[in-house]
Amino acid sequence: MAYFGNNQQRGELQELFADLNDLNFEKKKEAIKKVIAYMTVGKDVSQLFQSVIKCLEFQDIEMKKLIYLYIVNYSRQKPDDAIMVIQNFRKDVRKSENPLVRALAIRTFGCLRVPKLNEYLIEPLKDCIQDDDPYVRKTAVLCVPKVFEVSPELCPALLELLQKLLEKESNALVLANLIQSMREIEVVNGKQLILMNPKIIQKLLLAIDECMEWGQIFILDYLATYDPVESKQAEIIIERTLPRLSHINPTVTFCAVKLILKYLDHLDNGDLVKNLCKKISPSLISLLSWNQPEIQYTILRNISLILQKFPILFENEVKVFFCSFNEPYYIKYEKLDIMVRICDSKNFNQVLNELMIYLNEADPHFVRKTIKSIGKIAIMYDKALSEAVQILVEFAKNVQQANEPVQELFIQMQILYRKNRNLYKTNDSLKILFNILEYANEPEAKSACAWIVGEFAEFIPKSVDKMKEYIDNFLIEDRLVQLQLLTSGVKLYIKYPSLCSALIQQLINSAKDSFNPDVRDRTYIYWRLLSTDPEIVKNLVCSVPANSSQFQKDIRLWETKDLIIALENMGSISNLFHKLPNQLYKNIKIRNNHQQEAKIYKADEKQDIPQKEQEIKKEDQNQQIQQQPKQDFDLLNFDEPVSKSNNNKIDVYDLI
Amino acid sequence: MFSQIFILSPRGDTIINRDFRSDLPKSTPETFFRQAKTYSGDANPLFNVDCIQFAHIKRGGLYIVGTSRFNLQPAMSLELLDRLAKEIKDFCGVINEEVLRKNFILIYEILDESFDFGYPQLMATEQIKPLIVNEPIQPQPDSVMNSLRPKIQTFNIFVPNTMGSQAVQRSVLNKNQANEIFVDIYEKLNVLFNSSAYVINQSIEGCIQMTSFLQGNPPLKLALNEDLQIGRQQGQYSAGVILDDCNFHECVNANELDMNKTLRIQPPDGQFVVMNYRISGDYAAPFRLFPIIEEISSSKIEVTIKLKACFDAKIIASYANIRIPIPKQTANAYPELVKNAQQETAEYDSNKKIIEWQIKKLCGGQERSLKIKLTLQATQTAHTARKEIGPIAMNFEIPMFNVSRLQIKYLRIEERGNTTNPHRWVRYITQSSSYVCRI
Repeated sequence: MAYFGNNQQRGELQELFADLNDLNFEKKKEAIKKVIAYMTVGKDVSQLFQSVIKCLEFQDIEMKKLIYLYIVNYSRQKPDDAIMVIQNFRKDVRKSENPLVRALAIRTFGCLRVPKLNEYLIEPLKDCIQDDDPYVRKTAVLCVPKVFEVSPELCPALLELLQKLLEKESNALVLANLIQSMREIEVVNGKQLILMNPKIIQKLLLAIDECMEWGQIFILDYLATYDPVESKQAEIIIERTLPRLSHINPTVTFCAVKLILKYLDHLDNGDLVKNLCKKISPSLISLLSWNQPEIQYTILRNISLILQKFPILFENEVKVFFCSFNEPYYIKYEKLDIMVRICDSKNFNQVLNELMIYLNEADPHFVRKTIKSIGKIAIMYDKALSEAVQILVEFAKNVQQANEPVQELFIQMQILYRKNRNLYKTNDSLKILFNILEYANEPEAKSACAWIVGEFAEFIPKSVDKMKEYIDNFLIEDRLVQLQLLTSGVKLYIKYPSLCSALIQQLINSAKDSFNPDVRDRTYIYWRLLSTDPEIVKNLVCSVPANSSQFQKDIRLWETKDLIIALENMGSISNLFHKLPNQLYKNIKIRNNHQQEAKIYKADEKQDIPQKEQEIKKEDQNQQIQQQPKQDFDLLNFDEPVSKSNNNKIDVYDLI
Repeated sequence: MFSQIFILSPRGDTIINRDFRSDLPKSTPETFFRQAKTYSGDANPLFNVDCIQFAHIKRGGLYIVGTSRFNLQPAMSLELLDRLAKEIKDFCGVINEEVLRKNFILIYEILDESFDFGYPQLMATEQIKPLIVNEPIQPQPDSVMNSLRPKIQTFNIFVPNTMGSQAVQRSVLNKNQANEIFVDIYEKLNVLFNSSAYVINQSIEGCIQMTSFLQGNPPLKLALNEDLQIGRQQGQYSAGVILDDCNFHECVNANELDMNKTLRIQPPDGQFVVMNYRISGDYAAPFRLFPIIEEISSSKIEVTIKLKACFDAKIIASYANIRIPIPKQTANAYPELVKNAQQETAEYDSNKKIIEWQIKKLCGGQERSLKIKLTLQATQTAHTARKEIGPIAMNFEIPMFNVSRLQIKYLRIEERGNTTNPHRWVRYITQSSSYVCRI
């Protein structure tokens, strides 16, 4: 008897049905409350539709609210029944004295989302847009995109009405909603609906002062998409926006920052730009110390973007990004990242000293990131190199177990050794590292260790034994480690031909039948090279790179053309993930941009901004030139760039 | 904009579910809860599943979640949810599962006024108060649930863990209430000392917060110090109170702040922050810590920590907790208080390798000290282990005291009608945010 399977629920529904049709008003109301409660937890109460809408005849506003809530939820399931509600709606909209009821009706009406009902809606909606009461108008204005989404063909008249309203509306709240709904329709429609002119701009600027915080956000955000026609206009808009920088709502402040930063490009007065930057910077820093870590996080994620174009904003402010002990780790990671970006030839000492303290933190992942940051800074600034190595060696001395930070330590030390081979002498670093080699267990760290053993074989007392140990386990190693072992093994053989002849034989034997074509190929190449002329191998494998300038110093987050788009979407969720909006959402189209270059605002340069851009270009060219010789040797350069999988933009390569 | 807003219980049951745009599947609450549970600790406040953006905050153990398909401003999403939580709190008094379940219709009403089509509309308590018809239903006081609630003091700075105030748990809809206003000046201190008690970095994050139960919401005038100055020039020294930056609530008119240091306020109902401010300049830190580490032998270390309260003797800190991390390789640790120590405890947590030193009350000018005797495991020597001690973190609260010397000179009600003179309560509270001494 499956039909009666759901006995209990059936009983409940029948009870509700009885109560809804009861003559007692209070009983009806209680029943409707119960219906809403069931609806909330996801039980299907759509069967009661008819009984519920019968209760609409009462003028009790509390009851009305509840019933409307119910109708919105089930109208799409019961479109035929929903038609019966139309008369009630129209009556409420047209006849009711109470603006609350008119607004409530039009709001609910818009939410029905049943195409065939919408034609009944257009006329009342037109009335409401022209209503005397602003509360009704603001609700009606937002109703237009709701209708537009379901039946755009009915809307041209409504859109015209909206455009007219934009001309004459004086209430700030309505204006804010108006801008927002027109923008939404613009996105769907693809046509420009808001026709900006100086009069409307003036009006919007006035409205900012009057409307509520959310309205301010809508308007500021909209103005930020506008390109001012001339410097004077940009100046005026910025001037009117400045007071928003001290608003208590972080989003208002941030929208104001966004708008001002965008308009800076349009200003032709250099001193003014500098002054504005001085005003923005304290507001941004205040946002960073906001008492909600979530807000701090969103701001931090955006700051790495802002920093790329406006390094001037955080000049001398590196202390702001120092982590405090009780912050959540997601904040600490961001701060760490920004500290590396903000680090320059003047403050790297200060930053390194701070990072050194973080090495004592409890969270292994955070310590790992710290080590990586230290490595990055050392790569960027030659002067920081020795201090960084010193810090890392101190850390290595206290290592007692194989944990995450140790892995990173090996990887970073390898990169630093590659940058400057002579570092192995500093602070006995090689000796200390060799003592803890056994703690390497991640493929990347192991391959770094294998590289170190091969490269510095002559300075390590038992390098051959160590290599033997590695090669004994060759087959169970990761591909990355195998490749490095091959190269290091050959290096060792070149250095100690007699000691290692058995070793190299064992290595080639285990590697030549590898399932991995990369490993196999490299084995054969070495094998043949070794059997033809070991001298060539020596020159290739053991040559010390002449200079370390091959290390790229690029830690830019975005490509220039993406930077412009990212800045336009500043503060949005896509930037939070450091992505472009179209990478995150398939339905978003990017505004085409004619701007090809981004101005960079630096503190020490006043006028020669274009020159800076050229420098960057030159650097780009240099990098390309440097990459040329690399391609020539590509055949022999099998090494994966060590840092690739770490999403680290410092590319490290040398000849095997 | 938001497509849906829903509130879930800690077990994932839907308590409130409002769909504004009907452009997302009905199963999003489950999607959210499943994803939130995949995080080991608290879930990220924002995440993205199949192009649906989830933003959530946790209040009273409940998840308040907003979903969207759009490229929203995350700061705004979170701020909106936070505001919503404040509204609900203003109306219901507290936020917990029991209260929300009892008042779900009221909350739907609040949601409907606060959002339309997912766009924020009216989000200030006093603006929507006239539009709300339901009355809040108060939960049973001292029910079993309430008495079971854990009373743990945490080290989280973001929950203002302060002394009870009668202003906190009250609904704005309560009709027979006293005509009064509460003003709190909170200051949270960030201080970083190095081992010789020299200050490396310090700042104050402060706010003036009001909880208004004034009848008729009359305009107020709030006067601050006369030597107040906003904006700091580099290298400038001034005897007055200098704020680096500040921001104001919408209801505040700060035009006269520069001239005569007064704020004009049109107070809304309930709780609101009048002004946030930030000070980065030097100030006298209220507590100083002097750690001394001695290596007694290769396996024994003795740590002595002296704490000095550098404020006026009339002022009493309501608590001061100090946490000292000790080396991972510690075999045993004995914290020793001085003889006759009163209202003080010191405990060793052998799992976390932390010494917790708690002082219940501390008058200004007093000094306390703690001696910790550490015995190390054989694997580590005292010389390397001593580096693992610290940093010492301190948590405290000092009522009726503020470091910045920012003061409320007076709070006047500008147009006093026929109502009686309302009570005005002012509190100053100084708390630690990050008060750390490195060793």
